[in-house]
Amino acid sequence: MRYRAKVDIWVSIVTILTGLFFAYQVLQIDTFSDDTVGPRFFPYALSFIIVGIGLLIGVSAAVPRDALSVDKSLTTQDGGSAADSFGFRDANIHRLVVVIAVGLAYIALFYAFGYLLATGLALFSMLLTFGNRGPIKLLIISVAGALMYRYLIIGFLGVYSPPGKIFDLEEFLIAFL
Amino acid sequence: MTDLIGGFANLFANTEALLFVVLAAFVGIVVGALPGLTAAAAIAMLLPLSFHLGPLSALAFLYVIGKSGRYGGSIAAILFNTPGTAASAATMQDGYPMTQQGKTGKALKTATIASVFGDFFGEIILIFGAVLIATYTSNFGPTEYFSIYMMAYIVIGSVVGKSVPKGILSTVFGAILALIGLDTISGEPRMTMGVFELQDGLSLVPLLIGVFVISEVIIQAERAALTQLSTDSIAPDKDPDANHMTWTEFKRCIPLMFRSSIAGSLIGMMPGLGSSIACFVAYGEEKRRSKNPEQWGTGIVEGIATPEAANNAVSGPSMIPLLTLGIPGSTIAAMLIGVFLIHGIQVGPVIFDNPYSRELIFSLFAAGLVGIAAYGIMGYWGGPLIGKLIGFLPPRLLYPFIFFTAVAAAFSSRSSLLDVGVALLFGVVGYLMRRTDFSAAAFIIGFVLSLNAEESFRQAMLLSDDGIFIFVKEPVALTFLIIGFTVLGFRIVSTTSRKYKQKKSEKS
Repeated sequence: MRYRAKVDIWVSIVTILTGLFFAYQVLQIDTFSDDTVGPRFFPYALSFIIVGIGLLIGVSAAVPRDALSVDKSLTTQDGGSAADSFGFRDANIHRLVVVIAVGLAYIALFYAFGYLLATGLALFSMLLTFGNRGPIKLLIISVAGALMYRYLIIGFLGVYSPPGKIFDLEEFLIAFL
Repeated sequence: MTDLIGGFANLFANTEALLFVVLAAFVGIVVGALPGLTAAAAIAMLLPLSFHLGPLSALAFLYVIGKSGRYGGSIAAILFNTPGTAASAATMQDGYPMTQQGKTGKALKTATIASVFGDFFGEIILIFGAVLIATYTSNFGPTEYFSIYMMAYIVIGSVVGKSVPKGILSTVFGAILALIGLDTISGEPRMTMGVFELQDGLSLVPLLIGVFVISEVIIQAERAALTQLSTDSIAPDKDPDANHMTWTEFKRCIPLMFRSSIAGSLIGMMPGLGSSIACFVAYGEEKRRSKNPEQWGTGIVEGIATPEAANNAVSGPSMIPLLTLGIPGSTIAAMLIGVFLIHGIQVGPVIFDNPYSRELIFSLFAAGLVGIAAYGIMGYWGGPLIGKLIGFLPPRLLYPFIFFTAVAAAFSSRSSLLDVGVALLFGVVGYLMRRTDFSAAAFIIGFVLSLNAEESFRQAMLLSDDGIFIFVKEPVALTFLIIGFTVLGFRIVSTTSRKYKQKKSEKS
């Protein structure tokens, strides 16, 4: 089976499961309305469309193709390889996980320690993720970056930033200074 | 015309708006020139900033970024053989060879002139076309509106992206996510899974940021941001004429730019079609018409002027469906809906009936015209410098800051960490969509239209004695549905015949 077809089979499975999940959620909607078209109608219709198209993608992927046909999805118009344009052959899941983990860590750090410390630590981690090295350089960039964002987002735009639940670096520095 | 003059007066009386127009021209050029980032991504990140501005400043800022971002893509295409945006891929074909021949200045200035030409053309079409079309569409009721939304879903899903089923699925997926939250009519919570914070629904800003920006950061992280744009292949300018477009070349390009601008404007008016289609359609057509088609792709000014005029001519007319029907014809228009709503302005034909919003719209038109002039001036003289600066910027330093700007934007829209989590989640979703040929643009447009589509449908059902057949009995509604299904049919037929021809040529 061609690579594209294999990926599309998985796309089909995930799509059908997503549609069924939404259909289940729609069933939980309480409705006391006598209207022909109540709060369930539209999301129900969309759920079934999702399942239907998911089935279509799965059937289309499962249909055997001519063995001689070149998988054009893997080539660009000039014949060069563009395997990274579809599928996960060149995917680096490790890096995806790291980026998202830094983001989630940022949320947790923000909740616990406030905006300034969270931004500084997470920015340091992200710079490392992108291959930057030199601890002193990274520390300087992270501190400067955190202060810059703090000024722009909270100082200039006036966005409310709740203090950290465990410890807030900014409040500590203000009290200390 | 009086309205437009009033718009200019209003704009020039508003110093903040004028400053943001000039700033937007610069920001858009830089963002457009950075490969991987798009004007849509920049707008997604700057959308929360616009909430703190006045309505004209906010709209003008984001609108002009969209325009100058389209132009900015040509800088990377010409200097680095890497399209800054999908719309500048056609420009690369002649732009980069010209750079290698030592005609960098000529290439960049041709791109600037053509972009400004196309953009002005499209903006004039927008100014006169929107008002004219709105006089007809202002009489539409919920039945017609629902049909228009359905047409938009079908057309956008069919033409955007590589796969028709996946394009439609992208719009449907966006639509169902928009329904999460309290039902606007009955007040019942829908698909909230017991999470209290979801009763307000998902916010557009974190969705945009996740799908457009965080997904790109993930992709760049995968590449470990190793790509360093190099200016090594830029040959020194060899003769005086290599640094600018000559008068003879300009005269030769005028009919091409004019035809390409018409093509771009027509394509821009159709929801879902965009700059990337316009530039290739125009390039292909002008090459076919040319007396020396073999020279196209070797480094000629016509090969730059044509796609740049077409791709920028899309910008203005892509606002026509938004202003006349309330349907965003492009991702950028979908984002601008958020700004309109935040400032209490209802989009659609009624926008021209209300004196306040009419004045605002004409001021926005004036801002668009001023913005085009601003990016034209900056690009003509500053384009090479911006390109070189971008070449020096290491992506491995840039993308961490892009990530945190995106996270800051997601947080600042509602001061909510949940929104940051949503942005991260949709960053993964956006990444998976990009890897499997789904369309992020269709997803966002589907999300934006969904609640209005449902409301129109339910109102139409209340008014109807014939149930769902009202959409068939009303001629205008039926016409829009027929248009949608016709486009879908054409797309399926063209995709099928292309695969058949491909199979036939492989066998032979």
